Amino acid sequence: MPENIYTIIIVLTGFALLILGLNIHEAAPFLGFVLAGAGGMYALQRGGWLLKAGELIKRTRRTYYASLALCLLAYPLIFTWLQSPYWIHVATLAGVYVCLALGLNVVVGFVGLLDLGYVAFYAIGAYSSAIFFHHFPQARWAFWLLLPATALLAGIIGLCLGSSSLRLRGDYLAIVTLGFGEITRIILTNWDTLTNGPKGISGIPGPVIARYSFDKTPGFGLPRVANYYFLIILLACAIGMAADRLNHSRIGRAWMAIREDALAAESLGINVTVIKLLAFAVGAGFAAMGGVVYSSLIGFVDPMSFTFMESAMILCMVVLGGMGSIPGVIIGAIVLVVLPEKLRDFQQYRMLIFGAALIMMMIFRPQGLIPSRRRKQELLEEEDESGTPAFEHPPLE
Amino acid sequence: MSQAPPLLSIRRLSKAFGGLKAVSQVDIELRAGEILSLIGPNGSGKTTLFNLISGIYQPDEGEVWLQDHRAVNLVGLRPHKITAQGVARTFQNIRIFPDMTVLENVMVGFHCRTQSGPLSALFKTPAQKKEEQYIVTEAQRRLALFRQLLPLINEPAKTLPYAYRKRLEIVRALASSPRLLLLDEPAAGMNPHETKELMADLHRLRESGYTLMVIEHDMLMVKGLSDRVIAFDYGQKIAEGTFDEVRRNERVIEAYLGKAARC
Repeated sequence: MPENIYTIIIVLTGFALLILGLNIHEAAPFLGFVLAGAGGMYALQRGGWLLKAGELIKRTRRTYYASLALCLLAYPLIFTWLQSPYWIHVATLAGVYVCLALGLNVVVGFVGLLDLGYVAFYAIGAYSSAIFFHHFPQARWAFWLLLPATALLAGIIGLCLGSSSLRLRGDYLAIVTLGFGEITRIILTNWDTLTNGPKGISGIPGPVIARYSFDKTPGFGLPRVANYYFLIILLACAIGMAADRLNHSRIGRAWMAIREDALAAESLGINVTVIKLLAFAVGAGFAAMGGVVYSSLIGFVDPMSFTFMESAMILCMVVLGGMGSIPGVIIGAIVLVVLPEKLRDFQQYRMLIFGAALIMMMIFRPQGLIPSRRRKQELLEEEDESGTPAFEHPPLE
Repeated sequence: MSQAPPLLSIRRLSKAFGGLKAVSQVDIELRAGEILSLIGPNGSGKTTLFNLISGIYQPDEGEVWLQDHRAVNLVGLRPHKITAQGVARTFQNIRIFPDMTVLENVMVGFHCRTQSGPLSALFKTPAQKKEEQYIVTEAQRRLALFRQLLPLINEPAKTLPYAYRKRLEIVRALASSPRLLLLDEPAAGMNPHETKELMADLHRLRESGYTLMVIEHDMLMVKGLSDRVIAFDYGQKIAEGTFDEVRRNERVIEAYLGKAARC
């Protein structure tokens, strides 16, 4: 039991520090707080405490997730009470980016294909839902159908992109995907009849579920955005779980094998073409779902929200968090959404500080905040301990 | 024994890179349960032959027939299809997956013998769970062939010493339940003691029903291992027979400048 209590204490301490940090309104003290936090983490790591905490969390997985869920639930209530609903909005946005980063992580982290046009799938999701609601503003329940439908659509477009660029890898693939992202944005800007051009589409309604409208306050004094906050948390959890399950399945092993050595993977009987395409499709689907939620959250989409800068940002989240590591990518996305918000006071220095922080990260922790580690397989059976090897199966059944 | 059709028959196989005939007009027959060694100086076309059989290169001419339940021509098939037909291989310069664990490396090998797709993984269907269980159990059984690997199954493959990595690559190839195993210089870089161990391991493989085709430079290994030896030079088969026959062959002595004769 005391182990569970330690886990709860760890989670609550982290949560309290987060709330505290978000409530430091001046930028300079906030920077000091972040630096102190980084220093503290470094000291904990040097002392081996982080490793111990990691082991502890692994042993008390249930308690860990339960206390995390509790914190996520308390978050909007706390900020409503503190009268800064703005941070609920930021958290919701962070949730959207968590979905995007998890999707890109499939392509970049699991399979090792550099995709610089990932924002295109985000745009496809956001615009599909915007265009649908533009024509059928009353069909607000359709949001729940749009989520899987746009994921499917983006997945199919991902297959097309993937199949056209399969023979490319590394820099060459990056250039093709970069082009794909730009083409998508230019189409959105110029296809006036469908996308309303650079003016964008406004008035996208929120979803409805069983007469409950997402445009109303959910009660407890919570603002409207709290609806989306809970929605995106559910979606991000679902996507995170899906990514984790895929990662530790036959498909995930094939992805990783391709990343490590494509020729050896092919010689082991992996159909590299199909498995790579699958990764493109899965990543695209995750991004599109994020896009659907985003368009309803903001109520407005325009091509300028889907520039190359966004792709680069999502890629930064994946690299910063730790390529291939699901918890890492989640943390990376949150950090890269919150940090620029907090540094708003610095105005023109904002990107400079941000860039410097990324460079420092790459120097001191190139493997990312939480590097990916392969899960240990539980030993299922002990081999017999006699001298003879237990190798007796016939080669062919 | 000789009544049954050969497991593998290669006919007039040729491959040229520009003007260089890497493999030219090669015929090889291999019976099930046999260990065949390929020897020859560097650049004589042995590895190219392996790449042709396993589908990494496409031959300019010739056929590769694998006798399974029925005869299949492997020429024109993609590498993963050839593995599915029952031909597995290792590489001259080890190509294990360095960041995956030892066990996972072997689990990847089961890819073409299992079938759960992305949806069953998402919903963790009972069939998928059962298959995962099967893969883990079977992977451990194959790893048990090399007892040294067993305590290391959860270590990242890149941390293994060289000789263990070579063994891991063999076990990984075995995971696809091949009928024919192509080993490209399995003993390269091993000390005499390790080579001896490996030789015993390979004999054990043959006893459990695998057919082996081995490229090897270590003549002690070739002598101790092979039922039959084929010598290559300039992409052509220059000699074929038992080890002693081949080592007395003049063309082989010529190719090796008498090196082989001293063994």
